[in-house]
Amino acid sequence: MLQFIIRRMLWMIPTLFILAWITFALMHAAPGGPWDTDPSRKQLDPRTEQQLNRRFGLDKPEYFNPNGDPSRPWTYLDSQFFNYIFKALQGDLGASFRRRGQDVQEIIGRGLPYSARLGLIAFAWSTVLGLALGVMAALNQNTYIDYISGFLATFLRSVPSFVLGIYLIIIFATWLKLVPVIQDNWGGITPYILPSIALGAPTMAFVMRLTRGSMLEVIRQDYIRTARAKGLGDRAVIMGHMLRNALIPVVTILGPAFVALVTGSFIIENLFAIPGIGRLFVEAIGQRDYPMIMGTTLFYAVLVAIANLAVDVTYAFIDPRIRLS
Amino acid sequence: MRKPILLALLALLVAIAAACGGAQTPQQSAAPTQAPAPKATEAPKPAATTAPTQAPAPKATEAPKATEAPKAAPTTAPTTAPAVKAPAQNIIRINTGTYPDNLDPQQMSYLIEIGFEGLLYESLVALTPDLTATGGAAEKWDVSADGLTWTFKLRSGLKYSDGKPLTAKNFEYAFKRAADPVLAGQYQSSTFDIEGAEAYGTADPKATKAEDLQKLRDAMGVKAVDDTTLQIKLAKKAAYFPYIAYLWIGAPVREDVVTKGGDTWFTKAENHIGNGPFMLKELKEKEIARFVPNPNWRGPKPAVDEIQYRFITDSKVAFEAYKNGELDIIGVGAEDYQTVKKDAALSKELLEAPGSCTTGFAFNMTRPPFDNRDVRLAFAKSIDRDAWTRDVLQGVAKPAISWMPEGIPGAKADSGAAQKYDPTEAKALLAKAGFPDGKGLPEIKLTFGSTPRNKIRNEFLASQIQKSLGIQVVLDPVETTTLTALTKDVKTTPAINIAGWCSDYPDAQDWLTTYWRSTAFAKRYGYKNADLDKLMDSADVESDNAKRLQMYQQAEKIILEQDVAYAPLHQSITPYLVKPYVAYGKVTSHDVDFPGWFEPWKLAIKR
Repeated sequence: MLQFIIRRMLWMIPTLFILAWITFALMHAAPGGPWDTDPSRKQLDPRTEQQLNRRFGLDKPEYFNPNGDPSRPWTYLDSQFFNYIFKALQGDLGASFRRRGQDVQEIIGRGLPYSARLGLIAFAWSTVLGLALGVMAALNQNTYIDYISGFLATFLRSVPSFVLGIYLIIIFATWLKLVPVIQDNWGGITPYILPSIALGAPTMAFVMRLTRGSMLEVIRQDYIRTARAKGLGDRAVIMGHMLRNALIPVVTILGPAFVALVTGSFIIENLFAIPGIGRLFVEAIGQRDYPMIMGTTLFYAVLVAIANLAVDVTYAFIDPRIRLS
Repeated sequence: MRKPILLALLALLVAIAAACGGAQTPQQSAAPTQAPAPKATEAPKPAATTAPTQAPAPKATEAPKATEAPKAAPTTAPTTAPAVKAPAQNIIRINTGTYPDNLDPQQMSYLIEIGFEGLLYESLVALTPDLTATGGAAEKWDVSADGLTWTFKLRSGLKYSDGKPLTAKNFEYAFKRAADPVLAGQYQSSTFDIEGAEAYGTADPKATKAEDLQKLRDAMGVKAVDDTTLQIKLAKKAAYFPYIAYLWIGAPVREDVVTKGGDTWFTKAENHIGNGPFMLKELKEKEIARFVPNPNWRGPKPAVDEIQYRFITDSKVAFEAYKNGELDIIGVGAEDYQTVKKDAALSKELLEAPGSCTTGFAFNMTRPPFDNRDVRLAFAKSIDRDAWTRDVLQGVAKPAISWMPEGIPGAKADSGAAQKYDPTEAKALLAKAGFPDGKGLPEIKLTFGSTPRNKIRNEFLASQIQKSLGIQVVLDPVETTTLTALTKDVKTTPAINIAGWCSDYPDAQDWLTTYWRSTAFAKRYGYKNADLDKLMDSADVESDNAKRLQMYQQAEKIILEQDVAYAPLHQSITPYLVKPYVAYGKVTSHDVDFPGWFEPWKLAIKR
């Protein structure tokens, strides 16, 4: 098991390298640069632009530096891409272009607690409720419980989160006045309730449908009949035999879903004015803030890789047939 | 185990049912639903990054749009009765939209950033609410006979918010820092009128020795002669220099604080030790900025105990918060504007301030058919600007045929009178140019920054051209940053695109020379008129202000009527909602975060 984990961790290195390379290439392929911003405002003076390029190393070639010194071969790699990689290996993701002077890891670090808390709450309620409703729907197939939860799932899955979000605000803040529209303090759990409902709703719906589907498959298996024939009670059959087997496909999607929720959502954070990291990536692309794009992409990639690893490890506990080696 | 789940399910259903019920009515009046526009949030100012066709909505209104929920709320429940009772505390809460990324005055460029500077610092020169230059930290200034040496006399006894004296040395530091080659702020080149600033600012900091760099810095023509006298030597005559001295880049930031705080000094509230009417009490990224009166401010004592800036990027949410009594001043999003106008209570709280941006057609004058003046004029005359602003921009803009917007000293509303809407004449012009009824024209693409909203808007323009000239133009939406990149070089500049300009400072020079000189923006459009260059150059150095403005007006006429290098369509309006208990200073077209921004001490709660 440990060996498996270590091997998977090592695999992350080439994966991340290739990902960084692809991201870098795509980002530079997009027309316009970090200093091209607002077409209706004073444009950056070319002389100032040159200084900024120098300051942020954009005056270097992208990958290969033909002006390298043969006696010091590494100088051929004195380029934007490899300089970034070398710095990143030392844990330095560089300084944001737009938030001039501020380090990317600092910016992510500042916003992460907000996004993570929101994501965890959304993840918690959506998986628990999704699983519970899914199991209920499967056990009561073709009854009103199944239909209602089916409707609910379709509804939550198809209503865009910004629509759900704005209605939550109008209902609970403007009409019922239970919470203010503007949160003053992002501590505790209360301010996260509305945004986490809007954020977690699609995940909840997805988990529910998936659980229902895989439960229905399991219910008809021979070993369930065997378990019942042995005289096992409902609870033992459902929890010990059905759910455990039905969970495998669900667990597979929970990893990426967890990362997606915890790293924040552009729409939800924008709507509820949450100072999280969800907006960083999307904004950075429009602004061509290269270090920010690279940093957020790599950060996300690391989290996804870890989450997938965690999922694989979880398989071993759920399904004894799966051996990690 | 089952019961609680059922209960939760039930509660959820009820909530959703309520949401659905609420959703019914709004959708009837629903305007086009907006898909999330990512670049939106970066639009810190009216009609800015969100591309010029946008009816300039104040601040970052362009965030993801839901259906028009709040729109219908007032029609169903006539008055959501905004709490008109003045709050107990003397605090004004303002939504300013996007959180500013850079609060270092010498690096600022966006309005949301400058909105901070104006409260916290005061440059040598200030602007009156009539937008003319007046004494700021400097009481007065003299210009030498050759127009090159400007001597600013500081007011006596000036102090920073922490009580330390403010001297000419602090301003010397500010100007030198603004030219700093390492810092390389967005407005660095604005200092290049100063002698030696360009040499210092463009020196390669990596290739130049530290002592040589220091020498260049010392050689810059800014010198504190004594504690209250600052002498600035210019490299060339510049009659508009007081406006440069007004810019935020001349804010006297404190050297000790900046040095100690490093690259990110400006992110901490306590580092903003300034000389403006307010000081920063608290700064929480993307959440809140709290300004309190600066006891050492030289001018009138602010009437409020605190100003709060909020950073809600979704205009609909800000609108809800305003109706809920959680905000006192907000910018109105384009999609909420009609709702507000139709609502009896809210329309009384609506304030339509003039904006400082012009939007219209820019032509690539090297590309046929737009290398032909008559074709350009035909296009300019083909658009019914009244219908455009009324029906399409929903009234959040004014029709325009002038380049300089109202409010800039010297601006004339009819300076492009030859471009007035006239489809008959437009058709005749097209025929005169050799394209009767559009025969023989190449395919024409109308290029604009792509947002769903812009697409609909530009369809109107295309239909107007079709109606007036009988030409089928193809819509060509392009991602905003990409469009900026395309227009950097005349070789890639689209044949006809939607472009505009917003004031940096309210002087005609910023509208004429900065844009239309053949070495400046005009170059991107392949526009070169030697006589025009000469006229603007001489206006730039003309010391008689009336004569100077006249020359700029003449230049504007050449651009719009003689050469038809640009076809203005509309000028921005900044609509605010202001609670009836809020008092403010004189509204100008250059206000930043709230009406009366040039006199923030007049913000008050009426009792």
